[in-house]
Amino acid sequence: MTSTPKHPDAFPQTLGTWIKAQLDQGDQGRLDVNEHIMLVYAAPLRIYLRGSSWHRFGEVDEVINAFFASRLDKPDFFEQWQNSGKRLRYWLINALRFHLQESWRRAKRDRSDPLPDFDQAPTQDDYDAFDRAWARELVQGACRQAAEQCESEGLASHWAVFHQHHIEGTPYRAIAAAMDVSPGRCAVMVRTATSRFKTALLMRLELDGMPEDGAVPEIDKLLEVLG
Amino acid sequence: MTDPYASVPLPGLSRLLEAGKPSKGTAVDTIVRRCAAAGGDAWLRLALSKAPSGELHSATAALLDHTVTAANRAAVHTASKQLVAEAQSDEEADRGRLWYLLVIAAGIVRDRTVLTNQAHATVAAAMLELAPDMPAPWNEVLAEAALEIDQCS
Repeated sequence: MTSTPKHPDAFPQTLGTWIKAQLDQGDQGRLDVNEHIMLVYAAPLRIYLRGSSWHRFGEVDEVINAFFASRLDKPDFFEQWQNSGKRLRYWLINALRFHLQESWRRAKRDRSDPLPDFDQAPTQDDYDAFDRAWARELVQGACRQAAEQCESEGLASHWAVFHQHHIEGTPYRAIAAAMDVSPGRCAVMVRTATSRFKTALLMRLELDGMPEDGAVPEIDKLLEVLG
Repeated sequence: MTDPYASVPLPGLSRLLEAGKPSKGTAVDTIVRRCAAAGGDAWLRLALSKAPSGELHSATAALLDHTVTAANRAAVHTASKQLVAEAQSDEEADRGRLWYLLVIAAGIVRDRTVLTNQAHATVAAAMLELAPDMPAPWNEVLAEAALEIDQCS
């Protein structure tokens, strides 16, 4: 997502808006869109594939790469998603299954020996495993963006407080003491970094197609699958 | 260079997701928005000088003075909840919400008592969010209370 602006206010609200703006820019915009999709969704799709009946059909990385190569350059790929009304991550699972079914039919035509039928509808466990992987990508991406933004604003120490507390599990008291800041100053640093992180996380949820004001139930759902 | 976010452990992921929840519509959010809106400073000055009971009594004197007992603070806690429930206006409800958070912070700092059953992490996050908008001594009292009950480890 190389052309993504750094300031969160500059982000458009939906992936559809962002994609349209990128595609209007021509080849480079298209590459940026594809890069974003692969960066955010490749790992969850690999995990989904490994857990599905299709994992025996081919080497997982190759299958996912072939899927992206066959789908992302289709002119109507994102338009179809928007018309589907689904979250992008679930729509990608469906698209992957269609891709696998096409590949399977081609392989069956080209072979003389019988090819087993791998296709089984995804179970709730499959979706949960996918969501766990997606939650990880979501959070990690939001952390990277928020960290970069704090750094660019000269607020690296604010992010350091957030990082040490939420990622390393260090109590605020210990962090404040180590940084020699008062509790009040610590609160300012926490609020600033938290605000940047919330914005980055929300943007990613919106990019996946989350409805407006749907963040709390969406996050609760992810917390539930994380266990 | 190692990516510090490549393998965030599960407790960290859950903490981050909780921290990422929008605060829109929460008690703190309504107070912060009111403080930031036109007339916010005047509202805050008035809110800090009028107790939930309606008496003109500064929050500092009513909650932090060394003559104030834990029982006094518990009574203010009850009155603040009552004010939120029975407020005749949004301004009044927000004053109740503000005193609710202040008295919980005062209880933690003065009595080592948490006057709420809400999860400590939730209360601490709310206090850290509100503290920067409060004048002294409440900015430090709220933050100190948050650090006191923060149990992240």
